[in-house]
Amino acid sequence: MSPGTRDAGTWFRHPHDVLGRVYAVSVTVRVAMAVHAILINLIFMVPLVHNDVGVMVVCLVMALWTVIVSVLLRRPRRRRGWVFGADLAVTVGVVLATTLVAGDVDVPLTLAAYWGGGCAVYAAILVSTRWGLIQAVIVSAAYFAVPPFFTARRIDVVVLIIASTFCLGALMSQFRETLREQQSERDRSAALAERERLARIVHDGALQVLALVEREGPSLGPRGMRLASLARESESQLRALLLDREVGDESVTPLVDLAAALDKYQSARVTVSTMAGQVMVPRFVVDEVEATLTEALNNVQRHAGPDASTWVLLDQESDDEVILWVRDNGVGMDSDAVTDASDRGRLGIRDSIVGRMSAIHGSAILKSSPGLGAEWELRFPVDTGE
Amino acid sequence: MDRKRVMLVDDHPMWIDALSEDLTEVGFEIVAVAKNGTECLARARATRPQVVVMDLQIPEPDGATCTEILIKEFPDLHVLVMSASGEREDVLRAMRAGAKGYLVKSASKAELVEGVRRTADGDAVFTPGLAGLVLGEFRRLVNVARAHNEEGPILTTRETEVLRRVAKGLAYREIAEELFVSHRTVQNHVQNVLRKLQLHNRVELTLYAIDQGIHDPNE
Repeated sequence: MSPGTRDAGTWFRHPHDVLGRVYAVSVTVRVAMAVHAILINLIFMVPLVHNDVGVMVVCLVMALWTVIVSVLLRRPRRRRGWVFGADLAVTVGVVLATTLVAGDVDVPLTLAAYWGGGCAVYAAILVSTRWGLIQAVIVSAAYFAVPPFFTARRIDVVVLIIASTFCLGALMSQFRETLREQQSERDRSAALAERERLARIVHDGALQVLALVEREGPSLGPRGMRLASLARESESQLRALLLDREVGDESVTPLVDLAAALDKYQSARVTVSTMAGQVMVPRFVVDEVEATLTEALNNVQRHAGPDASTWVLLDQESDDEVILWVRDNGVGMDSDAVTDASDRGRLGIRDSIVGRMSAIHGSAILKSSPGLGAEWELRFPVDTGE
Repeated sequence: MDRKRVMLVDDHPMWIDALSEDLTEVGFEIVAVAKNGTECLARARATRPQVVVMDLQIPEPDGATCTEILIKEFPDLHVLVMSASGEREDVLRAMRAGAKGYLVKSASKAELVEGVRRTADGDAVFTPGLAGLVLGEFRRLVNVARAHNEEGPILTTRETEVLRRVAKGLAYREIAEELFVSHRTVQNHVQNVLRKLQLHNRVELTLYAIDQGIHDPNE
């Protein structure tokens, strides 16, 4: 077993034991209780009882059994009923042996002292609270069966054993429940990730077929042309779906990614170019920018001619300003027409585009000339001062 | 005229068939095809193509990784990346590794053939989307460098102008007209941008600077 890796456990802890840490702690406590009981017996009971051999044998049994049972239970697959049964039997034996060894002498905690609670605690941790409590009750009965029976110290010990067994058992069942939930959560997310991976493959395959239809269609005559244009539409829809980076609950996150928001405008006629990273801006800014972009794209559709394509580019020159270009290769217009249209409030220029940009403290410039399409340059500040 | 030796890497046989037909028609020689990363590496080593048309989404190792490995082994190899659903990070990774260009699969037949032809000549093939990604990447690199108090790879004003126009859908010819330079100069700018990106990737910016110092940086 390599001590270097965390998952390999320790010299004592079994590598595949989820309860390993808890078990290691309970073993330590039980060993401490054994040491305590043995010292008490050797120091105080030997002079009192006048049966040196008997006390020593009981101490030896406690020491040996503590080691044997702790090593046995180390491996999860050896945590079987007979081991716990044997543990209970030995413990009860040690408690009852007090009568044989000490006769009528009052041994306040019996020769097992607090060690007697160990078997119940093991059962509570490794099996269940119920089995722990059953063991605790049986051991308690043994404590009371040793003369002088119901003394205040015995009652103390019994209360302590039952209470700690119950507490540890309850904590452990809580812990097991949590582990189970974590495991099922892990399983669920692994399954989801796998499904996502498969979906990616399927989507990629579908995109390939669509791209192929798009490519080969036109050579198959008019019906092929129609197929090709259908394929182009579906392809860009599917691609937009796959590239959708917009995540998060709008109502909770005050900042949203502008780049991701713009991606969805990608279509057969609109090419959107953004950076791979994020541009985080307040939601209302994204809303204004999207509304502006929609207006600009509508303008292209209305005025630029049927064959016009549009390119959208998002870039930055400094961290606190964003530039958005919307360019089309349509019929364009001369500057008089632009001014004219703007004055008459047509083309959505004054209200929808310039107005919206001013609302977010930005600017909008339109460049256009006949035959050379039109290009909007929209600049607006983004707050990076966090 | 010797025919350029091309290898096609794609896990969809129908795509390979269509592409190899188109490329053979215009005079390329298809020396190998591969449907996954392992085949791609083995066959490229065996057949030594001049051009590789690489799909990004292939069974392990993926297209970007194959590009990295192959260009490290054969620096003269020209790789044209193609993908159907282009994950941005994968595209950038392939470009940083030294790919010559990137096309989406929905590009028309003519665009594809032209893209392969330009890749074979060692020219950069930029789509508007790629230009946008690269602009963003340079901004990111500069910011990263600034955080370490170093100078990052900076695009010249001219390079930025050219790249933005590519991203806005202008053809090289239109860009040349707008900027009053030759078509070849536009091509060189785009090429330089790509080279800077790749040099930065190999942490060879210093060497590049020395190189620039020796040669006259004027156009």
